Amino acid sequence: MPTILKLFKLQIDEKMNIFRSGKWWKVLLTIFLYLAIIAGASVGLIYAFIRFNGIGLAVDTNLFAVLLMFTQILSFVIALGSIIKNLYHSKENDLLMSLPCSHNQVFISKLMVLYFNELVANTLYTTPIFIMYSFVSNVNIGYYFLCLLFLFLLPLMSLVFAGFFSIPIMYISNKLKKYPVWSSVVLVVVVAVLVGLYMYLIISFTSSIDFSGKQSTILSNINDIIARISVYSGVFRFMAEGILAETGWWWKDIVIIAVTAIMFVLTVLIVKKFYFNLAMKNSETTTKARRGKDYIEPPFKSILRKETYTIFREPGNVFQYFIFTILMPFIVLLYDKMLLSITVNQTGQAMIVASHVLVVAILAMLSNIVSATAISREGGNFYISKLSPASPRLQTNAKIVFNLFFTYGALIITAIFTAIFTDIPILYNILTTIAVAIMSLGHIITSVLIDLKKPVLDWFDSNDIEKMSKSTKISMVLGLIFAFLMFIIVVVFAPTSHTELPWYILIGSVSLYTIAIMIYYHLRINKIYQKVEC
Amino acid sequence: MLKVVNLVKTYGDSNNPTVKNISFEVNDGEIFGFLGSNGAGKTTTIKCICGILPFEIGDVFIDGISLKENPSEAKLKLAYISDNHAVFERLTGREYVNHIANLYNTPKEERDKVVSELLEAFNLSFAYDRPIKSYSHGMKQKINVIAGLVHKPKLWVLDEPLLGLDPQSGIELKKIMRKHAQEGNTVFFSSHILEVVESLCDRVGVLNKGYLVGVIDLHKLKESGQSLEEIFVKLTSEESAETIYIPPRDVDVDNKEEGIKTEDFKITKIEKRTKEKASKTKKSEKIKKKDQK
Repeated sequence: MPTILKLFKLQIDEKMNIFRSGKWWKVLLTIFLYLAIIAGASVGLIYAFIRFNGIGLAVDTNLFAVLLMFTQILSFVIALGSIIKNLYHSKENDLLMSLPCSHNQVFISKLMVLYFNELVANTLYTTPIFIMYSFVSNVNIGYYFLCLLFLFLLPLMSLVFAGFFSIPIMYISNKLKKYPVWSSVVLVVVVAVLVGLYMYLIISFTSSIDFSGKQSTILSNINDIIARISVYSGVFRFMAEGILAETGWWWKDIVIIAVTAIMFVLTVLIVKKFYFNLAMKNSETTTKARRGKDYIEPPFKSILRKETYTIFREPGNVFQYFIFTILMPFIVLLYDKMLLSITVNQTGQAMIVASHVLVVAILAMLSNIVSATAISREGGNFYISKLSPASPRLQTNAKIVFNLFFTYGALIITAIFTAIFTDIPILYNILTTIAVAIMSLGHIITSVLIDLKKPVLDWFDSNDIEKMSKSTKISMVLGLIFAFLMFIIVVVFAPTSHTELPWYILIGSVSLYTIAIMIYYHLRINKIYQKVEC
Repeated sequence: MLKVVNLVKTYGDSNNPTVKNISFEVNDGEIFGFLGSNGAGKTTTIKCICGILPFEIGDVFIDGISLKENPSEAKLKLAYISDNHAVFERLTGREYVNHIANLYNTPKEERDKVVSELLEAFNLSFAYDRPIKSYSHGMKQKINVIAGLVHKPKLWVLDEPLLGLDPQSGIELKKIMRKHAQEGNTVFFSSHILEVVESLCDRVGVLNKGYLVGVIDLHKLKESGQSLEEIFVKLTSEESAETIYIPPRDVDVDNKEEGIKTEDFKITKIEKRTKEKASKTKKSEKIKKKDQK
């Protein structure tokens, strides 16, 4: 077997447990499940779009271009993330570079792995769209062949462009490496700007829809919006025409293939040149001395300081903590603006207020999820905390307070933004904030307890901990359930009362849960903590 | 200073305890070595003694305080140096030492004195304000030692302390261990290196497959002219658990915990087998005498 293929197999085996297990029925089952998801999504899309088409939604080139734009932008973002993570930041780099093969062979094998991953992900959401179009729209025979070609070409395009853009990103990120807080702030600002732009586009396009009007008017409005987006989608419109085998498709496809090929060669040559230096730079550690100052303080404050330092000096952690603090006010504001711009009847008004509760609660719960790795994040260092004479309750309290600081900060800023910039009644706004704040406390305590009952302490890297810990997933599902239940309470009681009653019921319910979990936490935390083996 | 009584530790749902009914006592001002082959249960015992690992049966007393009853108070008296040199790497050496000192409520003068003394001894001042992430293996061990001693623990527990240290630092650490014991404190450490144990310790506990198979007084051993190596090989050989057992001194080995019978443990089996062997020898001697007649 050639060295490149050996390296490719080594990495695929490492990343995909099913291949490593050697059980063929598991491999076949996974492939079957993958195909079943595609088939299920295809059937769902076909059913939905036949119905929408029947009542007036145009399933044409415009819609295809818009769908292509959304899926391929998503694909590009995923590819960019996986290139940065697997090509430059991967811990395998040290090992692979030490094997008896050239850096170019390592680089090409890594590209093959990335292409394989991109192909698997892209096919999952592109194939159902392609299949749906063959049923709903009038396509000619050439479309089927072009679909097959583009199923392999689209992931390559995402990879090539992401690879190209990853170089300046890595260059800047390495420059900012000495200042982890700044690099995290830059990352958060970039994400906030992108999300803000995305929300702004949605609002500006949906604000013209009159949801209280007739169905035909709504669909006609949607057709207009899709056409407007399609005009701006540029390259995706060009690709849509090429795939749908419309007039002049062949030269469009030749242009797409040629551009991809040129970009591929260019990117491979450029990335290859920088790869080794950029990848190895990430293995180096900074030795810059910090300001030396002794501090004497009580254990609780010292633990809070330790949490702050260990979290804020790891860019990934800062991102996790800050992202919702920064995004929550903007997302809630834009969401409220979007909902309030829609013309609705009285029941619709109640739904808008309930939706406000839902969005605030979901974002707050997502911000709380970091607590589900509060203990696991200490990894192999947990023994230091366990050895400490500070009581377990004091230690976990510090972690809870640390998370609350971010969630409550985000909630307060969100409440201020909502009060200033939207028409949501101030009392509803305040009561929503109080209810979500109480629920957040309950959710954070629950998350810490979940983590403490089954911590993952064999890892030091926060990415590995996130990957190995099931607590994050459980905490997320619980958080979403809490948020949804809060929404239901407001929806159920709002239309009949027209008063603050739904909020009082809401605050009562969340307080009950939070008090119950606090009592359990108070009584059991020391015992649960002592049982942890590390 | 340290009293371990009938300690039993089992991991998860295993039927086979890793530490099997261990009892021993270490006195004030003593350096006690813990010897044993890989997987004998040294680290597990040490982690139980430090309150890092929970244990099902038995108890550990540090300066008379039960680790089970008053873990926080007991932990105030001890320091532990791990064998894996794990430490909060995002902190600088100074931040880490300050954090640990704060947890133990150590006064400023006390911590300043210990830190400056040890920084000089280990030649680590140049890196004290650098992130621990940039430290070498040995430097991490040194900062762990400084953080461990900053509150002047009465019991200092070290797991394989010389692992990864350069010769100069190894010599310094041994000096510090001796000095700590001379000040009336207790040093308890595990090691694979017999020479280190022999040169440093007053007494040595030998662990084999989870059993404490012997506690050896090194001063008496020297007087007898025997070598530690010889005894260690005997104690940890395949047959040792059945043939040789040196009961730990001054320790009541009877299990007082409910649900555990002394017969479950090899101590009794060893005694039985020794008696059986003795009676067999007597029988064979009688036969020999008869034959001679």
